[in-house]
Amino acid sequence: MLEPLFKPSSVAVIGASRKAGKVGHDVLENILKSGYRGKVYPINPKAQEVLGLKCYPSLLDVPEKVDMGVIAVPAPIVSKIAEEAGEKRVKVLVIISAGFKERGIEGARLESRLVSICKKHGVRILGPNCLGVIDTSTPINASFASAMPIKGKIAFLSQSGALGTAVLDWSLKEGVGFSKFLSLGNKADLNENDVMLELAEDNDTKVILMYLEGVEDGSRFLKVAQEVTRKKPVVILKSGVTDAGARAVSSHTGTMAGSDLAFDVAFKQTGIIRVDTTQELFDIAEVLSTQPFLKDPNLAVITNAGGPGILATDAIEKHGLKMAPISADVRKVLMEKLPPAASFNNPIDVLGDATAERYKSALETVLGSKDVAGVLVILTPQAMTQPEKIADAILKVKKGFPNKIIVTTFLGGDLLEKAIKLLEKSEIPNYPFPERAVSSLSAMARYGSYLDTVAKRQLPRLKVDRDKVASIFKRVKEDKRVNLLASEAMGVAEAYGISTPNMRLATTREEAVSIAEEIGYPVVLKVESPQILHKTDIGGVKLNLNSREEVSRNFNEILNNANRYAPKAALHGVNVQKMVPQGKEMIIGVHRDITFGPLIMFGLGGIYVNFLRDVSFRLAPLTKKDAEDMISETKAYFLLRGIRREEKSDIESMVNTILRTSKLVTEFDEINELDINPLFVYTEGSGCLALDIKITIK
Amino acid sequence: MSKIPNLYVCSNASFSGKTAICLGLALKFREEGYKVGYFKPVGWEMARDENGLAFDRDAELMKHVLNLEARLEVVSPVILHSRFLEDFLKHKPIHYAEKIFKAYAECSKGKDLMIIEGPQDLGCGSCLDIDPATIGKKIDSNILLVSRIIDDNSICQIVREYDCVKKRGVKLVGTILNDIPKMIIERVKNLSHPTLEKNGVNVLGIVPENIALRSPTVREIQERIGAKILAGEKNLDNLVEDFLIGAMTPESALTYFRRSVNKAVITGGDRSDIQLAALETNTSALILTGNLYPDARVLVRAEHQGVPVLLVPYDTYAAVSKTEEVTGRIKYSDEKKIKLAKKMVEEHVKWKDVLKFLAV
Repeated sequence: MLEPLFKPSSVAVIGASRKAGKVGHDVLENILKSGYRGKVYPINPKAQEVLGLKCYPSLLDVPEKVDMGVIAVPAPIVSKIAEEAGEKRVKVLVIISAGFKERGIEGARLESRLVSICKKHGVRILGPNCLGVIDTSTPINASFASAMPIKGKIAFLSQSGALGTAVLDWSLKEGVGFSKFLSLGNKADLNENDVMLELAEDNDTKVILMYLEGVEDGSRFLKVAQEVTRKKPVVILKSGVTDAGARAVSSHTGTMAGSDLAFDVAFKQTGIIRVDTTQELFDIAEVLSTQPFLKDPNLAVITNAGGPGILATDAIEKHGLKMAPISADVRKVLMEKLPPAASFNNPIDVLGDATAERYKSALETVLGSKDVAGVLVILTPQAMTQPEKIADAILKVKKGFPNKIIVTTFLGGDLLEKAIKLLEKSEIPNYPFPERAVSSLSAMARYGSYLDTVAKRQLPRLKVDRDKVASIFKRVKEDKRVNLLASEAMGVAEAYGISTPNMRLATTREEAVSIAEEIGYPVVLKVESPQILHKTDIGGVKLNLNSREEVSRNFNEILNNANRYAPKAALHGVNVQKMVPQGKEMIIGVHRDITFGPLIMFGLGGIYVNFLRDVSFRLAPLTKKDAEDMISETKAYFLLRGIRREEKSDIESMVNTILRTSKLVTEFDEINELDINPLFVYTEGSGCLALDIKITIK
Repeated sequence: MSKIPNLYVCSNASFSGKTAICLGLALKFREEGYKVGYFKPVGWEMARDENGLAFDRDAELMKHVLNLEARLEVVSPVILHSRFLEDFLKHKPIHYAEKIFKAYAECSKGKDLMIIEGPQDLGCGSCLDIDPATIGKKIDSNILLVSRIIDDNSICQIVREYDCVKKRGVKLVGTILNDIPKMIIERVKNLSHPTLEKNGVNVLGIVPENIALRSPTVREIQERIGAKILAGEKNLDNLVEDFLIGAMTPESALTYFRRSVNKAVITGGDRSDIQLAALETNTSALILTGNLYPDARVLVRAEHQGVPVLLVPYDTYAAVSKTEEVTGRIKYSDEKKIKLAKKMVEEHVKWKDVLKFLAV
């Protein structure tokens, strides 16, 4: 689908220049230097020849077809070039030029004109304002980054071109190889979703790495990501995590940063491996692109120094991996091959004077055990250590165990430099410190366990009354409101099968009394005002009223309190609700995230909720398992499950309520915010009740 | 004094919606075929014209809508302002009264009935003997009291004003309860209205609040607070029904902003995150404080969405204080609002009874 982007049969460089240092010159030079075998056409009306190639005044003068156009001319003339590209039936334009949406109002206008021209002709755009694109298999370097990356199995996709060039330079020093390397620029057309889909099918790519500041089309991203992670791992570094960072992102991209929590949930739910640092990004990529896929996290550690061995052990447990057990027969063999002072348990200490032979024996023996999935080999430079020979030995052993993992930590500097280079060349990931090695493996394990749980996502079938909800929303919109009255929100809940206690709105004292008589005592009175969010705080809630007199008196008191504490609030009246027995207080909340849609929260409610924050999150739509997992992830689950004198709660009814809430916010995208607080949960078999519901619509 | 029947529309407090009522009644009576005139004896300085003369905007509105021939200084001959004592104690009160009656004679020539608009309350002009009751007695007016309802004490205040006017020997047509919030209309109809009637007050209309009439436009706010326009110049006619302050984290901001429509959001010029959150929701304008220019990309977005962005040099508190002072006025160019004023009177005021009373 995006073949012309990565494997074009011919490339035109528009803006090709004879002056070195100009983008139009450097890009052309890069293409030629990269060993590209297709046809290259420099385009520049002011030159006859550039870098030894015939130069054409315009795209339309090129006699043969042009698959890809790389544009390095000033922004104002790009639209004209795009028109010509359309006529010439160019398939994709890589627009390196800046000065578009990132520049301001004028730039934004140029960009939207560019987009409509290309859409008209069916031309795809990468950029504008991007680094370009590099494919090490083709090979082609159609970017202004001067170096060609080492060939490898990692695809790197960056939202920032500048980060890209820096990473490229670094990768050459570190010996990290790439299959494809590109930056997205302003994402005027092609975005991370398109490229991810393409890379999922690319046989040259084993791991997809991304640096993102924001995501276009969150709901498409969720679907695409879910599809792609089934095929290969995706590791994403997303910036703008902190408030200050988010503000920086807004400045950089001109869009609202989007809640980082929602990103976290989105990534977890789609199996994306999220990292917090650039270092982790490449650490993890190294292991994912060179080692067999690890699902069973049993690791053995072989070390010639005790201290680092313990550090590695700690790291392994901290990261949720397991220290592989050393079975009796493996132990026996080790005791034969290693000196008596060596440690035969995991971590296996081969002692400071270990030679290549000793390392080889230990490694072979341990890898031969079915209990061991992978080994972390640690080497420290002692007096008699021969690092290169040991590295060699490790490489030889690896050949015999293609289905086991080997990673190394050659802890040192100058003394180990040559040996480390040997390892790097051969695709055994080496980490300067054991913690980094372990942390990378654990990311792999997490991805593995996600894959285990990914089944067909079956959404539950629930009977609901959509028309009732639609008519309630219609009335609210006609009233020019966005906040539903409590009675309206209850109506919506009931329509979707969420149980609520009997409640009606009273506008006068007499009405309140007659409703109370009808519903039956005891009753609760609650002020109805969209502007009053914390009713209890202002004396707007009266509980446990048992007579006409109490209802009457408290009705007035509530309105007086409302007048006093919120004089500007619109008062619709007072709700009279049947008072129900106390249950366990839980919360279900929904916030429509601007990127990913409805983010559902479940957790412990009550007055301590703001401090304890015992909550879990998922993005809708939810499966039954999602809802069950949400509940079991909270600490409150231990209470709900029933412990000691606490009886078991009706977890099934909570699951049902969560699922129905999910269905409601998925089917009605005008719902921006929804809060069920509190949700009273009773003992098993007795269900749950939504006592107070707030809904805000668009 | 001329015997043309006149309706003297008064109020007991500022911003009761008196002008909209005058406008609505005038247009309705004109529609019924009457030659309607308008006069505002005592105006309040709201602006100065190109010659530096103070004038009253309500009088200006009515002059244009009714196409009055008389000059604006005749339509509204006496203009007071917040420090009027020095200027006005130069002459004896009789000087102003004569000026008023002379102007009235000119304004009422050839008219079937006159709508006279009173000042912001019944006391205004008393120290110059040109308060509504005094003038009204002289020209045989029929006083119509326009009042809002804040709480049940407002009912008492109306009864008191009624009594005061009666004691001065001036005729009363009745009262209009104006700009009543939707959720208390039933209560006003069922409780306040009968209470007033029992106290001898004739209720001629219960007019529900109309946000469109009451809300200022972005332009009115911009003029009032002296803001610079950074984007969205074509959309200054957006109505502003609410003011919100943006000072929280962007995530909380989004939830908070979603709960309000047609709002102006006031925040620091450097808070791109808050500004973008506001632009994600239904927003009439962004008011940025501290003279801090926002990010270019925010302006692009705002312009694209038709949301004006205003910049002021002072801080948030000052910005809020100034915006609270702005209420919506009807401009003679505002066709929609004018039509709406007429509709409100048509639907909710017993204008036929008024005509009957005036015995036109």
